[in-house]
Amino acid sequence: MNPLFESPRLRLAPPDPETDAAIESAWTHDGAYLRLVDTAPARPLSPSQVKKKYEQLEKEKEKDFYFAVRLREKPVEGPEGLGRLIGFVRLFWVDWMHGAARLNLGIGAPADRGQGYGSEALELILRYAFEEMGLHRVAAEAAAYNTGALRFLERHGFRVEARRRQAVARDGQRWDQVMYGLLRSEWEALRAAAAVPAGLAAPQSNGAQGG
Amino acid sequence: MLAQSALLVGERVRLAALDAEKDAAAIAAWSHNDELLRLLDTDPARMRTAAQTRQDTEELQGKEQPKDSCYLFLIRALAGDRPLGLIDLAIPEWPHRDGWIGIGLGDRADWGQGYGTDAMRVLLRFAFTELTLQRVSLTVFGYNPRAIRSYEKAGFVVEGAQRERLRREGRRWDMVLMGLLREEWERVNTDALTTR
Repeated sequence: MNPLFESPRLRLAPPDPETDAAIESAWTHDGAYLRLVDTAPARPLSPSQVKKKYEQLEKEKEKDFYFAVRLREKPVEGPEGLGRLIGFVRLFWVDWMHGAARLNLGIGAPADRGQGYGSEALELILRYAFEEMGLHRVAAEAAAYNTGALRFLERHGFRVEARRRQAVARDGQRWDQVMYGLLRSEWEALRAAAAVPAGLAAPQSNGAQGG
Repeated sequence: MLAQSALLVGERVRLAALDAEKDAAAIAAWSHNDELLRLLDTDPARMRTAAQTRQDTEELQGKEQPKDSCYLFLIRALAGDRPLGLIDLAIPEWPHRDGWIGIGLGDRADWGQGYGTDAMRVLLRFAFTELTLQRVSLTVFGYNPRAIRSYEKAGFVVEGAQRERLRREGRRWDMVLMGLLREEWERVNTDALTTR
């Protein structure tokens, strides 16, 4: 079995209030980030407010699976070994009876974006959703102005399920909220396709496919 | 002058405050209607006693949430003032002016009599004229075509569906998302906006 919490470069871990609150507080001073990560009114949080958020998440942990995303710079040995915090990934509104949850994910600092960390974190959380939690589907949403998120979700197999017209107001304009869903069966098919051994894959025109 | 002198009164029903003490017995009785419970939300159907309902209501009303983010009304028949059901409107994020509606009539005998339609009409007027919302939203289950038709009659448009979102009676069902924009509502409700 593959490690559940580790990808080649990343690790899912619980948030550590002592070290993470200050880092996450810094992210919340970037209004552009806040407006991409959700539709709540953007507002900066102090480290102590971030700590309170972690405490709240702990109280709701049956329906809110929140993970800190860290770089695997060091092996896991003591808190210092967990690696630098770069973002979060979260399955919330978990509806156990029906097997559904919503996904949210953010890479906090601009310098850490555009390096594929989001994709790695997404792969980890989807495996966790489908193979650990046993969910049937995962939903995600993004405002129509967030073209990066729309592309990201579509690239990873999420399908557009609804457009909630004019549901987001920002900068004096109204935008649709695009609702996505990924079914377990779709995720399994994508994984199977990605795991086809090189020797069995359709031949590439340039023959340069790595083994 | 404001056009609405009876903002929360319709032709057959009115929207009233919920009294944890007085209304608990009626609401608890509705929780024995399993059909209602499975049309109303995704929670496992569960019965409540009057005492539990009173406690639920007190907790809900005493919650620390800001009072302007959730409006819960008891639907009462104008004839006899009998409690018929509940309707609520939640505005989780005010900047977007989008409100989420939930509605249920407790007793099967009251279904199909136009009470729900009238309650929805009153709530929409409240949402758009009093709360000045830009749109309202709701979710409805794929196995509830009767509600979908009724919401369409009220002006809602299907905006999509979360595929296989529900598991009930051994199969999967979609959860349908519907929305109604302010300008769509205004187009057919000009009378609600004109001054006398």
